Amino acid sequence: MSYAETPQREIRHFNVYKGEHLVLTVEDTPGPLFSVAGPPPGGAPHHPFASARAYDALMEEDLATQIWNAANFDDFLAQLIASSLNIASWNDSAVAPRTQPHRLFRGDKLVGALWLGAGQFTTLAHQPPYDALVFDHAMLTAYAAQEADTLLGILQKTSTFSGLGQLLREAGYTLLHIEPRA
Amino acid sequence: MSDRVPHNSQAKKTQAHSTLNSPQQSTNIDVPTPFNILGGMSVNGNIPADKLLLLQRSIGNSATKRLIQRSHGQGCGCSTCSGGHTSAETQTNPSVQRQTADTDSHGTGCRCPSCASVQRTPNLIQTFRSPLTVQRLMAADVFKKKTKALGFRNLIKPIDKAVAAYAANNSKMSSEQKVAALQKIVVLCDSYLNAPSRKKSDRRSGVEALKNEAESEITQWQVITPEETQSVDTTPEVNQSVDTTLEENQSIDTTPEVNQSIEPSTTEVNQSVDTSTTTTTTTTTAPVEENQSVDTSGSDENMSIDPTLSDTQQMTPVTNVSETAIESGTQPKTPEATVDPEKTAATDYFNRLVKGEDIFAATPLKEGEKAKSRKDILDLLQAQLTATEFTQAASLIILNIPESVVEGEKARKAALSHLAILFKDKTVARNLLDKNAVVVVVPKNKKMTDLPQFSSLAGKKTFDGRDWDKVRGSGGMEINGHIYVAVTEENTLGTDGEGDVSGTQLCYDSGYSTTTHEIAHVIDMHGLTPEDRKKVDDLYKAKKDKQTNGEVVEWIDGFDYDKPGVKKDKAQEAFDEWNLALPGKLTTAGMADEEDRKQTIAWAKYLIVDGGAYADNTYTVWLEHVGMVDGDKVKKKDGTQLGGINATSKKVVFGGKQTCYASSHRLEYFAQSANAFFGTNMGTEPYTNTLWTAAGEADKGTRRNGKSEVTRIEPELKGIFDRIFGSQDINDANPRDKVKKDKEGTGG
Repeated sequence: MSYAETPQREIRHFNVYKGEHLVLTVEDTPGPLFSVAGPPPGGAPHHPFASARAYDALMEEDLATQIWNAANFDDFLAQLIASSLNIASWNDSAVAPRTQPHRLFRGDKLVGALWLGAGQFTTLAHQPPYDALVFDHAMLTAYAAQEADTLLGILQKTSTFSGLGQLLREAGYTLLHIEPRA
Repeated sequence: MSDRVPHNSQAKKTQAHSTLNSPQQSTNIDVPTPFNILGGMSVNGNIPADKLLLLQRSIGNSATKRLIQRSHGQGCGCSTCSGGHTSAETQTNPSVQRQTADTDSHGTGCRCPSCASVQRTPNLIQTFRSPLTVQRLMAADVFKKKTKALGFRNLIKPIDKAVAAYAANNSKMSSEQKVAALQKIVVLCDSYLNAPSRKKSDRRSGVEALKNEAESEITQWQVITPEETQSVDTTPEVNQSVDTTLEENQSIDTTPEVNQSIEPSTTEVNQSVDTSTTTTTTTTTAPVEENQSVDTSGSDENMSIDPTLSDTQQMTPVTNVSETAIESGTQPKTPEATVDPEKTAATDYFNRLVKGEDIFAATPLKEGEKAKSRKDILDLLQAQLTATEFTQAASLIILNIPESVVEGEKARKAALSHLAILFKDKTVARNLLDKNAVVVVVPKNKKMTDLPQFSSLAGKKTFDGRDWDKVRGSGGMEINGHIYVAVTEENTLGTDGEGDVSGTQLCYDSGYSTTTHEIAHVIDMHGLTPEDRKKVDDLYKAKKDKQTNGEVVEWIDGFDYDKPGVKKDKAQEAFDEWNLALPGKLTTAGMADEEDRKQTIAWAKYLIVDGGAYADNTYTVWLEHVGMVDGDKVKKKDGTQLGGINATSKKVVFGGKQTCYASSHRLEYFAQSANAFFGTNMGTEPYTNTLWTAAGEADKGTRRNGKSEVTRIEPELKGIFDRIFGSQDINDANPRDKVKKDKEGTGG
């Protein structure tokens, strides 16, 4: 069964990282935009296609600009990736930094991102249910849908982060380590 | 930019730097800490060099030297004893105890059977003249017992008794009780010092020092006590009859001073600590000679502990009294509180925190001493302090009150009283300390961005479109390696913003605490164990799934009005109702902006024609935008007034999706539920309170508040709260109504 045939969530929910650090969580549903700041007494503004929460005060203004300028949810994700942020599946509310952030390339094309430690495999368009495809050694997102089966297959064959890196390289991928605060 | 602004940090750094090169000039030497009179110090005979230095730092070089001279093994001062027996042995061996009663006069109070000789410690008079020694001796119940056994110190016995009771019970006392108990000690000292027969007493200097120490500590507690938050009257009046007792004792005392000096002088060693919390109502004290049996009550007049009083709402000084014994209320027979230097060091750090010192700042090192890292110090505190003490220590470390806070002391007390509950769990507190969490109180007359911690946000906007310069508070932002929580002076104290930030306090309802809400966020994100956080995740997801499946789900902030079973889709009806209540008011009159006018017209048309729901915020229209003049009130069809809605402060929503705050995000779920648990979730729910589609529902827009509501709505979550926050409510959070009433009452 290909990845595209696996169950998926009704509402996509992602973490957005700057290097190791969580800067935003965003859901594919209309809703409020929450700041790190205390709530405005009248309530947070609603966004027409996304609900989100910021975690990095210094980046909030830029993130707000991007989300209001985006045409839709997928466009917003693309803008985030284009601005050197990376996307991972949200499956718990932990906010701790995720170490060993890497971007994954096939040739010169960016096809994904991965981090050390437990997390969920996902693509941007198709996100598994909360408790599915969770791995102990790595959290991996396939930005390119056509790479999903290959990347998931490699992830499933490995049990360590270093082993994963080795298999990815052997499969022709390039891993670019991201500076923690890059 | 300074990451943190400790009190007098620059001065301290300067001092630390200057003394670093002159170790001999350590300011800690022979300076009693605020809790010296609590005593509880004992010394093991084999003291490692580093521990010795800690000891010296705690009680001073000379006192340490005396202790070492007088102690070996478990504290015997005699030459016959090999010092190999333990305090436990002493406690359980009747023969040892008998020896104690019979022969416990040789200086250090060794209880070993091998000690047949009765030795007098040399220079006892000089020893007793030392203020520090007197304080330490008087801090120990065992000394009181020994005194009774010898019958030499009857005159000073009431003081001993009062100090011993204070030492034994203080961890259960409210700050008011502590102050009262200390005042009593002062009264007793004065009585002693004023007695004509004591004008030439060798002990005057010691008693004077004790009095000064008690007065000093009274000041400490008066500063620290979160008096405003104490809901229980526990003030024990100093019983004046004690003075009479003292006089009675004085009248029968015929013991010459020289005999009085022949007393055990090393009670720091192997202190037997009375931990009874028994209440006595004795108003007179029998003459000492009639009371020769060993008194183990350790209690005193009016020293009862009110069980309803939070032991975490007070800053409790550290003692070495057995916490377990106190908490159990049992009275150990002869508990031997063998104090280890680690405990003493932790006590010292704690006391320095209470004084407002930065315990992580560099201090002069002794020869061979290694600098302690922040982690070392936190490990020590966590290992050695009780949960209550560690909570207090964590609160003092994490709380930052800038000097510019207008009512700094009040804000500090209020914030500490909140933190005493929020940081009750040792693991939570430690996790926050490890993340360098800092709770900063933003002055009510300054912008948050005026503070150095947040200055990098000046001129920028928030994710929800506000100016950071106008924001009042935030929950857990990471800047420069710290997790900052900003809480405001005005919300903490229930006042208004002033000066530059006048009008930006944003009218949070009285009793609604943004302070506890924001700190709850940082606890959720950075303090909870992964297991607890996962449980909260699961609870939130389960509720959301229920909604998705069509169930009506109640949250701590009410209901979502966009979910199946709840959604009314009654925009038309709402519009009719609105129009009936305020005929002709649904206009664009008063709207200056043409775009707004167009939008409002479109909106109104949509409502009337389609009666549908919007999925964005264009359905929200402020009352002033629809021509409602200030002072008008909205009335329902039956003519009754819809409470609380006035012209300028509320919005009205006709249809459209709205979720209540607690449902809107996993983090808000935790923080709002925690607020309700603390009792600080008062007021109106901002997201659904004006949701016209729900008009007529009795609970519309009302936040739930209190533990019973959390039990009803979020029973599993309450289980976690019970465990990490305990059972106390937070009273007087954001007491805007009370403050307003008080102002009106005083004409202020």
